[in-house]
Parts: sequence; structure tokens; C-alpha cells
Amino acid sequence: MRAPRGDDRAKDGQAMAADVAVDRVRVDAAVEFSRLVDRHLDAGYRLASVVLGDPTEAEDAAHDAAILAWRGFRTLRDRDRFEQWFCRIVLNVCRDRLRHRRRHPVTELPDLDGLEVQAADDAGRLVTRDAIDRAFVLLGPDHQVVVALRFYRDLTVEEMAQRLGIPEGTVKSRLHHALRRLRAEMERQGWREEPGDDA
Amino acid sequence: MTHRQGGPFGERTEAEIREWVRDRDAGPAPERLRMRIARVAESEPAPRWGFRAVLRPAYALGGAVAAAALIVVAMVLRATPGPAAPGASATPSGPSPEPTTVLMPAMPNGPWPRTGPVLAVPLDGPLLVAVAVLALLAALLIVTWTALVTRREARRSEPPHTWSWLGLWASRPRRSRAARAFAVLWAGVMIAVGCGLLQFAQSTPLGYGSSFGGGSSLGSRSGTGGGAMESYYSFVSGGELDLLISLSNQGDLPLTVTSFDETRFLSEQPAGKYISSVELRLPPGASSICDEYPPSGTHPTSLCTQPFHPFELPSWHESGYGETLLSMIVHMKSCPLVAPGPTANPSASSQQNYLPMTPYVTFGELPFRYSVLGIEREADVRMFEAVGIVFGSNEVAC
Repeated sequence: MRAPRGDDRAKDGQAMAADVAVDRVRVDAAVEFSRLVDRHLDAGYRLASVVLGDPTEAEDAAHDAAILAWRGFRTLRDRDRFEQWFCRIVLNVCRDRLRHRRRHPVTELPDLDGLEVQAADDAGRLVTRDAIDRAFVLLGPDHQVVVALRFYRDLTVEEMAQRLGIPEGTVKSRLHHALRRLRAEMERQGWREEPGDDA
Repeated sequence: MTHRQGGPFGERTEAEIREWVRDRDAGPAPERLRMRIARVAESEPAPRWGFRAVLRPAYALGGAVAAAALIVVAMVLRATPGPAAPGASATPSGPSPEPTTVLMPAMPNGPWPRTGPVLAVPLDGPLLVAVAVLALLAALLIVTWTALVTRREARRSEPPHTWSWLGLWASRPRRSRAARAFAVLWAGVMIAVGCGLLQFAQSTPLGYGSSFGGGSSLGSRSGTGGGAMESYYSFVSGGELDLLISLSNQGDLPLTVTSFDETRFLSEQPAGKYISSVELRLPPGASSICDEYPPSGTHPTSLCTQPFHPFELPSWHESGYGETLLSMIVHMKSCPLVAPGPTANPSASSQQNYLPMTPYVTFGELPFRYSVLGIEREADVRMFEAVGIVFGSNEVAC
């Protein structure tokens, strides 16, 4: 067996150093990703729950978004924009899930206990919320997302465009049509705006 | 009017919607979700399939292997066996006669006609269009992908940039990736071409060979229309004209001569209305190929005795010039009113600059059908010497 020469040992050492460097980079990325996702997970999860309206599905959506974010973490050059980037992934996942939900609709049983409590509280308000509830699910996935963003955080059009990764004009257009459609669907449910609040 | 500017709802309804939306907020992420996500970064990132995967060497190699498999499948599906001569065996039967004048290399030994699949993908007709369209689509895909990615990056950059075509090509990473993708495609095509896997049927034409012969002619003349040569023969009502023609394969692939289009020959050639039919004969034996000049004085019908049948003509680099001889017997119509042409003196040699003094009609193109790689084609083979049929008088109505 040939004894290792000096230059062989040097090459081995260089290779090991390269391996260590690669591992360190990988570990650094994992640590940084964990730190960032931990910081912004609440925002993503809450956003998903608002868009999807189901905490359990929102958990799955946030988990899927985290996997996608980790896979594409190397492509994110500006780590300071992680929140916007992560929210965009969350919204894309939510949109896919809404599309899937439209293709495979699930009929949920009405919560009769909640209705009784709310009916005692305010009948008019109950009618409005029930109409919103029914009309919202009839919107397309893109429209549901813009309506949720618009009323959840009162984001401006520019902020919504950044989070969705689409032009501002598209956001304005989607929001306009989504609200018109929402009102039309609510009115189809029998809802009428109170006299003091309508045109 | 209490509507927000541009909104369809009043303030109270908007507030109700806002409250409804915020009621859907599930609050902070539960601990079990944090635990699930904490394991995400520990696991190995899965490979990202999609267009970027093509740019990685390993996936590019896999794609090349898959493409090669597809090409082999296409070869098996599109390759067609060579036609076997009726009554002929796969190998030549009996010793071939000793050539008297060998001017070209002998035929290669081995099974003939070949019946195995041709190892090539013929590019012709719809497949050629499909390949061209696919190449165009691939190029468009690369450009679109590059534009989309660059546009996204431009928007994401700090400060945001306006996307432009100039910016696209100034972007080094995108450009290098696109170049790599093109290089992979180009290398794949070059490998396929280098291995001879892509063949164009158009590049294998059927042409006229280098020999011509016939019975006793009145003479010949060069420098006729277009500088071609013409040989002149007498018209004999109801008679026949024995000629020896040759065909050559001027391409890189073997071709199969399938038939002679007699209908077109009779209708498109000036001499057609004086000809009732044309008969072609091939040399005898299992091999239809006769790559020799006939001995001087040999009568065409004695050299080629077998009825015409589809035969394979090898490419020029497989056997000399990839030529074969055929005997062509032209049966003339019975036209009693047309005076027969002048009679040549049997002992006199053919005149070199013969100029007919009476009307004559010619034919010089032979419409053959042939196939290359299973693709049917037609060719009007222009004869080395056109044939003129000379009448005995000016009255030539048949």
C-alpha cells in the first residue's frame, strides 16, 4: 500500500475543508430559515386562516408554504423581504387550496347553536354576516384572496400588489370585481343594505 | 351617501365585512404547527423539478437518455423492411458471372435485399414539421421563461426596477442559464446527427446513372436544347424499341424503386402519343443490381430478362455509384398512316452528329416512384441521352 504523499494529504485536507464549508453553509441557511420562519409564521398562519376560514386547513397551508419556502430559500437574495416573500407563498398555497375546494366542494352542517346566540343578539347583523358567509365562498379564489387582504389588514393596493406579486392595476381590477360580485351574491341571498347605509 | 370612494358597500357594511374577515383570524400559530415546521429545514430539500432541472447536468443527462430512448422507439416504429424480390432468396444464388469490363467496385457481400430495419429516423412531411415546430416552441419557452424570471427579479429588487428587454439580456445569470439550455439542446441535436440518427429523405434523390444503350440507332447529336444529347431511332408502326437505361442513387441512404409511372410517361412526354406501353426488365438473379457497363454490342433484352419488380438501390458509398441497369422496351403504337423512319445501315456505325431531316418526337424523362426510409417519393429522372423517334414523312397523325 502506498503511503500518502504530502500533496495527497494536502488535497484531502482541501476536500475536507470544502465539505466542512458546504455543511456550514447549509447549517447556516437552515438556522437562518428556522429563525425567519419562526418569526413570521404567526402572520402567515393567520393570513391563511383568514383566507381559508378553517384553522386546520390553515395549518396545512402554512406547513406547505414553509416547505416551498425552504426549497426556494436559496433564491431569496434579500432576506429582509422574507415576510413579504413568505406571505406570497402562503397566499399562493391558499389560492391553490381554494381552487381545489371549488373542484371538490364540501357541504358543512350549519352551526345552529351559534345561530341562536347571534339571533338573540342582533337579527340584522346576523343576516348580514350570514350573507357574507354564503357570498364569500361563491367568489373565485383570486377574488377571495384580495377581499381577505383588503379587509383583514386594510392593506393599500400597492402593499397588496407586493404581497401577491401582481401589478397594482390587476389588484385594483380584482378588488373592484370581487366587491361587486360579493354585493351581488349577498343581495341574491336576500340581504339588503340598511337604508341609512346605502346609496 | 356613505359609500367609500369606488366601493359598493356602505361604511357599516364594510365594517361588518371587516369584522367578519377578522373573526376568521385563528390567532397565533399553534405549537404543533411550529414543531412540524421546525423539521422542514432538517429534511433534505427535494429536487426542484421543472425547467430549471433541465439545466442541471444530471437532469440534462437523464433528458438526453430519455430522448435517445424516444428516438430508438421512433426508429422501430418508422423503419420499414426493404422489399424482397419475388421468388428471390435473401442471398445471391449461384456464382455471379465473371464481368468482362469491371469499371466499378463489386457489390458488397451479404444478405440482399436487406430486410432489417434502417437505423435512422426519417425526417419528412409531418415529422419534419413537428420537429421544426418543437424547436421553435422550445426557443420560445426559453425566452418566455427567461423573461418571466427576470421580470420577477426586477420587481423584487430593491429599489424595484422596470423590466425591459435590454435589462433581460444584460442580466448575466439569466443569460448564462439560457445559453446553457441552448447548448444542451444543440449538443443533443449534434449527437443525434453525428450518430446518423436523423436522416432526411429529401437528401436521397433518384437520378440517372452513367450508361445508356440501345439497338441500332440512326445516330446521336449533342448540343440540343439545353446542351443535352439525343439519340435517334426510327419509328416503326407497332414495333418496339429496345433501350438500356441506368438508375443511380445519389444519396446516403438506400432507396427502393417501387414502380414506373407509365401513365405520366405517356401523357407528359412529347413522344407519348406514339407509344402504346413501356416495359421494364431487370438483370436476372437474386440481385437486381448490375453495376457494370454492358459489354459492347450486348443487346439490352439479353442482359435484363427479369420482369420489373421493386428493388433496392444502395447508396453511392455502399457500392460504387449505387447504379443499376434496366432494359426499357418501348412498344410503339400501330399507326399505319405514319411512314416508318429511315432505316439505318446495319453495317454502318452510328453517326455522331446526326440531324434528322424529317419530323421526330422525343422523350427524356422517366417518372419513377421510389421510397426512402419508408417515405414514398416521386422523381422525374432525366435521361443522360434523350431519345428521338424519327418519322419517315411530314405526315405524323396517328
